[in-house]
Amino acid sequence: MTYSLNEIETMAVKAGRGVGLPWGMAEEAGKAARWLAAHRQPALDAFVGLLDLVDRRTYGDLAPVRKGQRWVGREGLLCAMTAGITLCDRAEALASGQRFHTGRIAFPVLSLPFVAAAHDATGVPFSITWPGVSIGIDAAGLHSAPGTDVRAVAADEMVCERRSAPPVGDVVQAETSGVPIDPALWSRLDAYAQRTYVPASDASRQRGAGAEVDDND
Amino acid sequence: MNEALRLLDGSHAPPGAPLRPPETVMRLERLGAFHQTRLSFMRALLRRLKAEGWEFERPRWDISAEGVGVAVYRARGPERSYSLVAFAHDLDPALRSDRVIADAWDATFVLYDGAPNASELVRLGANVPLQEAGRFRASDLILSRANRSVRLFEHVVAALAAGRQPDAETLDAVGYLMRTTAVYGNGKFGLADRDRIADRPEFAGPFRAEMLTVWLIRAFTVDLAEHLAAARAPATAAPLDRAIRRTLGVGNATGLGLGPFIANHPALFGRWIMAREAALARVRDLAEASPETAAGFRVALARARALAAAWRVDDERQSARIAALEEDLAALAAHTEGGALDEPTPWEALYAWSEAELSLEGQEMLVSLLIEPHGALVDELAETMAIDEAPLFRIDATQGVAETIEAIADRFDWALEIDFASPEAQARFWYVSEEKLEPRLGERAREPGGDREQPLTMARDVATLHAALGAFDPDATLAEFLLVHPEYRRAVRRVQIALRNPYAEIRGNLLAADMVPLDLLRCKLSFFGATRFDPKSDRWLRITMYQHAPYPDELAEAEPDDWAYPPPPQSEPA
Repeated sequence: MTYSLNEIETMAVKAGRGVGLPWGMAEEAGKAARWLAAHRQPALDAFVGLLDLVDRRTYGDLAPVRKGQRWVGREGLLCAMTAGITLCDRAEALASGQRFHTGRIAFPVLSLPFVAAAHDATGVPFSITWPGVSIGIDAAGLHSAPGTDVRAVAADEMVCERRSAPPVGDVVQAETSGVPIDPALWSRLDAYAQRTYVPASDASRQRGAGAEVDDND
Repeated sequence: MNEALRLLDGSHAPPGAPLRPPETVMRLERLGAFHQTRLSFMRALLRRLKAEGWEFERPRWDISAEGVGVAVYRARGPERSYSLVAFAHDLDPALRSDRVIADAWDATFVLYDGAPNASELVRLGANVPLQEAGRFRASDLILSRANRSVRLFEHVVAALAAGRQPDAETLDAVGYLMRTTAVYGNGKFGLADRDRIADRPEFAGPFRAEMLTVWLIRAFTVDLAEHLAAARAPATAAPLDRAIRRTLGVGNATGLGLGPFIANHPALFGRWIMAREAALARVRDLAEASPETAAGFRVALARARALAAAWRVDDERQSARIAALEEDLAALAAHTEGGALDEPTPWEALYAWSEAELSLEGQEMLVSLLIEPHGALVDELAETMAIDEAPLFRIDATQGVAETIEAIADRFDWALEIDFASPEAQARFWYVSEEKLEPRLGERAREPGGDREQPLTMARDVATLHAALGAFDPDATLAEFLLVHPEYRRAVRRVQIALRNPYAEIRGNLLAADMVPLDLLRCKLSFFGATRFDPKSDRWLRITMYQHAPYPDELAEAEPDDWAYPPPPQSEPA
């Protein structure tokens, strides 16, 4: 079934919240899922995979920590979303030439929307690379060599920095319509989203929505 | 304070003009006393449709004598056309409910991008009547449904069938033939994302596509009543008198869903308020009242008094407020006739007088009336009420902990004064029901689900953020703070938005025991242009939309924006 970008974002927020992300991060996850869908990146598998990874852990387990020149996960594997958020919070430093270099990272494709946000905030073109993949992000969109496969489950390292060379390859711009999504994948998101809903009781049915009087006249 | 306000992007107020401070404007009680203005979305839409010479037709009417079938209304503008596809149903009266949780309606609608062909009509016919349970495409912009007013619909059909016009008092008591119970857009159920249409001039303002849909629905409701009367008694049936037809709007029943929208879109909401406040400031800044604007103000005041006199509700709180409003407007009329408009800076003086003399309902009605005769001065502000929220989403994490503490103390002092340890301060929680995925409000002490609370928690969040920042290294950046405390990312983002627009945050605790959700709903509906707020509980209400407005088949010849108050008494239909 085809889902609108807004449906994808809304579902991603709820699912992110469902696995225990704080609201602010869940909203960032929603924007990221929307960006990836708008740019037609095959990333929803990765998104659900990451939620599986995050589910029932605490942020501390996944929070990036500095180890020498690199950002690494406290348990060894870094979460690409927290890495992306950390990177975007340092966009100005990256724009002025700092490198953002990670250790082993899960689902690196999920960092792309945060690099795009860093670009939007600073106007500086960035490159983001992991083994086998090199992507440029600038005002024109997302640049990658033909045949680039972004679907790695994990990468040994990832580097984001100010881009000096001109972009290569095809450019992808944001679309404004939704994308088809595999029903099984959507169900997995929905299962997490369900955790944010409150089951009905007789009291909530009446009081909660507020219809104590007849509304049919 | 005012100097800082003026520097904000988008204030649009003249230098020196007195913008009301957010601590005055952004209180829930005041927001809940707002009335429609010239900047309201319905009014701005009709002005644009008229100015651009939009044309309207009804290319299809396949409705049976029993009132079942499909109709298409087309709106054709300079660049694009849109079609309202209306499906009329035979609804068992026992199933008629305004609650959003209903699953059958008298009529269902979609606003379609362009003109649907036969196969598209088949697809829409299989989905639109299902509403939330249907699936839609990017060509489908807005989804809606409506129920008949049992009180009025049959009365009108019976009268017309007998060749009579309906009874004026009965008409007046209701004000509409049908009520919409939901108007969905922005990607819901597969509909077009807002991004897809936001750059079209006709839809650049907030909720324009929704407002166009409702306006076309209004035409359908009258056409349907006339059609059923003619089918019932072809020999005797009369059409609805055109002047009487004008008095009918579209009803709407609205519940808690609007509250989270306002609370979750602070930057957008802040723009709405800023435009309205800037319009007021421009008027207050005028050195004198021209004869035209003074006359325009007097006419608007007289018409507002007629509106208040016709505004009858069962709700006790609102009834008392309407009674006070009527007294306020009488006092305002006497004050005006006493020469108030001959003073220097008369509008400023009038506003200052109102702060001392009138209720909140009266003060905010005066705001609308001050703006009313100044279209040339303020109408452009209607174009400033949309905003691309995306650039405001990113946190500026280069900001320091110490300066953020200072900003919170300055902008959120009202939240820091709340004692969240007291049960009353957190008596409520907002949640989404599993059953219907609709926003609801629970009592924390008595109902389960507080752990699944929705984030309408800004007052509490900013207070806990303030405390956490205070315990952190004051010389650190927010980037360092948020790396350790990601749970405050939302509150930090909101604080930064509020720094850019002082009207972005409601200055009230949405969890408090004495919070009235209705205030949130009414505020938003006033920006739509709704009138006759009719509370049915503390959390849902009925309103009327487009009452007295021209119909699509009248717009070319009609004044597009002379309808928000009832017509002056002398031109009232006999």
